[in-house]
Amino acid sequence: MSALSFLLMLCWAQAGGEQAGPDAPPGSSTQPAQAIVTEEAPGTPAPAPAPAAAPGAGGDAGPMVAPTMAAAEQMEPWQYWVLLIGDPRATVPVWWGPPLSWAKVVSLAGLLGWVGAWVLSSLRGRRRPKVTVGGARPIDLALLLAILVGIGSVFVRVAQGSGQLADVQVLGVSASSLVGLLCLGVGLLWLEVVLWSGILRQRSVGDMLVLLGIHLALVFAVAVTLSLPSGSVQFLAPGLGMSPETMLINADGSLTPSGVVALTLVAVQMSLTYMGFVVLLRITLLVLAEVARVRPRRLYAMGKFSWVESFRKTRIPWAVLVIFLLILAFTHWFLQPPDALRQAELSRLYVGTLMLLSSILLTIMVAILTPISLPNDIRFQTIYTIVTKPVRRLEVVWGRMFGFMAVVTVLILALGGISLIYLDRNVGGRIEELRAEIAEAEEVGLTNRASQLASQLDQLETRMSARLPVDGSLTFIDSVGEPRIKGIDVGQELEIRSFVEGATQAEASWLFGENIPHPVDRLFPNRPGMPFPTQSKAVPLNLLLVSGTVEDLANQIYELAYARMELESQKQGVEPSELSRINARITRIEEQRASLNQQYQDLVGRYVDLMEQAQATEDEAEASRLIDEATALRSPDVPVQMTFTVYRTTKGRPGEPVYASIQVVHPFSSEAPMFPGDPQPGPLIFDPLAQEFGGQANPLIPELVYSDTFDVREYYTNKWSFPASMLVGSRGYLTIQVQCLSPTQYLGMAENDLFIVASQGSFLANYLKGLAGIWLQAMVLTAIGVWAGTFLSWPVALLITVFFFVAGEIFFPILSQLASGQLTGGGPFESMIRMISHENQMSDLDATLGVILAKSLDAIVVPIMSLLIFIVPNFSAMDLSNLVADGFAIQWQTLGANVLLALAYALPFSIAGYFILKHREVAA
Amino acid sequence: MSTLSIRAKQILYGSLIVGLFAVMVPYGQWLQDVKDRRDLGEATLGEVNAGSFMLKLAMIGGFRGVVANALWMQAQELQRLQEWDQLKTRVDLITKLQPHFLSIWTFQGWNLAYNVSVEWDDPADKYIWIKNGINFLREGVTNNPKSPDLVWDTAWTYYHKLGFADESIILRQLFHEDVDEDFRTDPVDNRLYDDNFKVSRGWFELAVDRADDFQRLATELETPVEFVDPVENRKGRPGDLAFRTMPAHAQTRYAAALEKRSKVNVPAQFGERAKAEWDLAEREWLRFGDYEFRSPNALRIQGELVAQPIRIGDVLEPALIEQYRGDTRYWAELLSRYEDKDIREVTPDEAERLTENKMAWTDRWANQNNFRYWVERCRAEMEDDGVRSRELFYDGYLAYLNADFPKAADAYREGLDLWKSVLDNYPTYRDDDLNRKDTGQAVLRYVEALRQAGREVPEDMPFADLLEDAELDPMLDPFDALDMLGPIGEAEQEG
Repeated sequence: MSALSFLLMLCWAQAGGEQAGPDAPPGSSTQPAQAIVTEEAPGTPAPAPAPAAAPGAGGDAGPMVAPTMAAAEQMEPWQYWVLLIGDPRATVPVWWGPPLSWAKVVSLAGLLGWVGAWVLSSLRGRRRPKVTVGGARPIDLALLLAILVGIGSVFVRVAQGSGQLADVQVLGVSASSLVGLLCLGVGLLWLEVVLWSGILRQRSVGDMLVLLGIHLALVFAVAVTLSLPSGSVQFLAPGLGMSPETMLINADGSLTPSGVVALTLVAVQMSLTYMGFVVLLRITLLVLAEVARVRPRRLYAMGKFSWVESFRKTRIPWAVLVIFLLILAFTHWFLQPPDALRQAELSRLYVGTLMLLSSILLTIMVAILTPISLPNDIRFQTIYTIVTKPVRRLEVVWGRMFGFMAVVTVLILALGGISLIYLDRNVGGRIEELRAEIAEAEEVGLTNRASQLASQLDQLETRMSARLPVDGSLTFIDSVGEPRIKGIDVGQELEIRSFVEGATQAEASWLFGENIPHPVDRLFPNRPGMPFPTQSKAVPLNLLLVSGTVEDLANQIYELAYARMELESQKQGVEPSELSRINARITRIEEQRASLNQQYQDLVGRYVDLMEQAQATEDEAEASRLIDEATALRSPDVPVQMTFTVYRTTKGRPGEPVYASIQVVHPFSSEAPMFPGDPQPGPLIFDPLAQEFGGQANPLIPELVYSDTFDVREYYTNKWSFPASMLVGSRGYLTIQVQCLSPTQYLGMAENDLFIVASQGSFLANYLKGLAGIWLQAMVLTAIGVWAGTFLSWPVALLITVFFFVAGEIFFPILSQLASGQLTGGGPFESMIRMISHENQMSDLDATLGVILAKSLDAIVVPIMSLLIFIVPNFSAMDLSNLVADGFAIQWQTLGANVLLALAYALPFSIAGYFILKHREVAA
Repeated sequence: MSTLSIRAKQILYGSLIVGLFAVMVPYGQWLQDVKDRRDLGEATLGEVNAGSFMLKLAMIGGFRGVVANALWMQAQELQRLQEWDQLKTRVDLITKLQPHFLSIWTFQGWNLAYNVSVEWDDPADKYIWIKNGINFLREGVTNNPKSPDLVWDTAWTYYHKLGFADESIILRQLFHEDVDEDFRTDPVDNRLYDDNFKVSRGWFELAVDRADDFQRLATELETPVEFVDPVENRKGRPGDLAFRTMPAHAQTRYAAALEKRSKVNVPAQFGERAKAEWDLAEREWLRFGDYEFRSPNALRIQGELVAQPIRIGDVLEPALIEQYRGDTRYWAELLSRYEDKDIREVTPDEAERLTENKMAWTDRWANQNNFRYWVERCRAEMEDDGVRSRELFYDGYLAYLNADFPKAADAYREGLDLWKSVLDNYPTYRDDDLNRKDTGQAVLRYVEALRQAGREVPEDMPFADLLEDAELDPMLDPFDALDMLGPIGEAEQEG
């Protein structure tokens, strides 16, 4: 029984060979790993899971939005929806897109588990056969033969693909593919027989219904596929691993052989997904029934048991604590604190290291603790004391998880507390020292040194905070005034930054706003095709305008003006009764506005008074108090932070920095239009109060364009701020433009290089949020550990858990490349040949026997490995320590998304563990 | 086995453990002995570092290569991502794992000082990264004190990266102001200097010393070191002439830099100070000239192939070589001693050939290193009038930049007259291209000052022949702040 899950994985994985279909079109043989595959698996064919990433799993693979959209134009709405729900790779960029993908993956896993479990149970319960051939049933022999011939046909296909064997065509389809297809048919037949016989024998009504449902789903999916218009096939092909050039439709609209294959694949994928949904329904019902019976009291008891076990029996938590302290005591052995003049790096170094250390120690602890606990209970038969009590199996699994997570929580708090003390002593102490050193240097007259240290201190303090950055949408204008998506490429290896030329029209411009088109759509408003989704990058006025200040009141006046404008626009063509209602509301708004106006005037009057008093008074202390009081009446300036790079084409005067100009443009100004190429630029928003001021200067917004110059310090966070009055009435829209002023020099920037700092949070809270990321990692690993413990002996369970962690933490990028077919140099076997023969990743290998063998093995192994992307959790996505170390706030949305991501992995694993434990013969 | 009781098993295993440990003792002693004999112990290779030791322990020895490779790849990727500080941390970790792998120190020290520093725009940041690179190399020296290479790399980075960069006038100023005393200490005389050339001179001298030590060590040890991470030297091999000139070059550079505005905020210095430094420079050159090199060719004398000792300094007094032209006894003795061979008699013809050969190599190598020029330059600059004329040029240029043209013309005229009287005694230096350019520059400025002051160019102007070339080549000196930045801040400095 303990091999069940392994077999399940294998079955599922082998089924992944379906990926490119039994009959790959000859044109796609350039991608052997995907194209030349036949089917030999005895298990249910699983879908082609290639590019779509697991829910929220980093998103390296782009969602198939555009083709789906294009295909949608060809189909009926209901066909589109059925396809969207049924295609495992299809997703939509809305909030329910990822959960849908998740449900598809889980349902496919469920289907696999259900089929695998029933195959095993059916095989175990077989009666003595009446007819045997050589001691085995004829159908088993047929299966064995089909597997062998199937594997053989893979080799033949690879050899044909590399031109070593002639391609024999039967009915327009390669003969070897036909043989492979035949083998697949035999496999499916075997599966049908085994499943029906097993389920009928056990007389399980629910499972009989599921089996029937599965067949209905198959029929449904096939019917839907047949009803698809042939024109839509072209749009589905790229997702099936076929090259885009493959001809799928003839000129007369009928399907080519490749088109038939593509449609078949769509049918197979869809039917699998819908079959999975049937199984998922059954599992959900079973789990819900079980969950309804879970009692917190028993969960607590089970959790406490694990807690006690961890601390008393294994003592691993204590070891973790001791090791942590030991390493901390000797950090200076391993970590070189940065040079006295690079103190800005101190916090990044220590924060990064501490979080990494906590993360490593905790994951090691969890990876050791969780998988050995259940197997040992079973081995020493202490499990009997539990399972003979009225405890649900789900409670056994979840209770253990809760217990271990309690241990993790306590440990994380302990490690976090120690780390924070350590940071305070090291970095905090260093900040104090730096202050003293700066004062000392200033006293002695070493101004150079003092300013160097001061800039280090400033950077260090910036990193020891939690900044909430607000990014804009970046577009460029080149040196002759043409709008561009990117600036100039100066040939740097790192391509994220592009450059603007100094002392020309070239300019980088960041647009902020609630609902702004994608840069491509802004620069090319009339381009063909569907527009990209709009972006929301609004300046958060509520965080930046302090309530009750001059600017806040002015902004409220504008909000009322906008409200009124909206009502006015509703007036047209409405019923008289409705009209009077609207008019009444407008009057009310006007009254509010008048009173706000009054408040505003009073406040401005008070401000002016205070400033005048401050100027008049002789007493310095009194003057500064008055100025402070006056400043409190206004919102603080809006901080902007930038990190630019400099590219010099001439050295210039030694020691002279590169200068840049920065300009903030209010949306009422037509300086920065929404569409930069527009010959008649207009403002982003029309001023609703423009008529009231009758063309005179608007007193609420003193200036619509605010500009300044600064000198760029490369790799440093340049800080700048602009008056909060620029935000009044902007509704979150704003444009910031940067130009390079020094001739012959270039300024490099990427979208994230300039941002408005919406708030400056506390480092402590941010650090704790960062620890929450580690906690989530530990939770997923706990679920995996407990799951592995339910059916494996502890050494194997330990290895599996460690494997999952290493694969998810270190090799996830490679897995995602593998799954999306972007891995250069082929699969593991081909890569091995390349390594041994010192070939590079790009060159074509000669079609020797070894190479064909390796490619064939890859063709079998790569689809299996690429399935791992669905079950291996993306641990690095949950790691937020970089944000903490760089001094950026972890937002609640990010944390929430990570919680969902962690649950998306932990829940299925724990439920799988429950089912396995339930059917395991442990004191059953 | 199954028949043994638990107690018996315990005793068996216990005694096995003790036995194995007992065997280890003589083995360890033998190993220690070999280490001592071949000078291979960790402590003799370099400083024993606790962190490094712990890391190696954690890697169970063998894994450290793999880990170092992974770290190296990470470091390269971080460099691509422009994460310079993270790059530094990775590199530090690599050196903890492989502290005696010289290439890591050499490569990454150069990488930090040259490649990373150039990516930063502000000279203050450049300075920090050059310093990081130098300190990294110095750490390498502490870990591998016997290697002349790392010492030389350190010296070179002090000398070249700080002294010859486009921003040298600022970098050298930053060095001048650096409060890090350790960084500014000469490793040989342990004194604090405010100039990178002066400190580099010490490091170059140390490199030469280490190379000599290494030579001695390599011959004294019974077998050359051929085990783990062999300490092999690239620098200071027997025929490496340029290597041995570097202390003299650094000192000369220092003396020359002293007499101009080579640091943004430090005025030039003349008088006794300058004379003393030129004097030191001359002594460095003479010391180089005194070193006995081995001639690279061998002559067949009395049936034996023999090489000769060559001293480049002899070129200043050729009579030292000439006097042995007919002295067959002298040659026989010298060669017997030098080659450790029994050469009884040398024929007059052979003595002639030997003298010719020695003369040829001495002359060739002296030319190769421009030896006569350097010595003469030091001697000329060292003279009272030499220093005085440099000072007059400097004053003249300052007056010229401040548009006080009559004063500038007067200062230049006086300086040029003095300079001519000095140079007449040093024909090699006078006729050297570098000097002609340098002096031509002064002549050009003199003429320009005269024109601006509305005076005639006098008939008897010294070095009049250099004017034409100087007019064609109006290059600025990138290592002179007056040329690069003008007379900024001069008033406050002098006032």
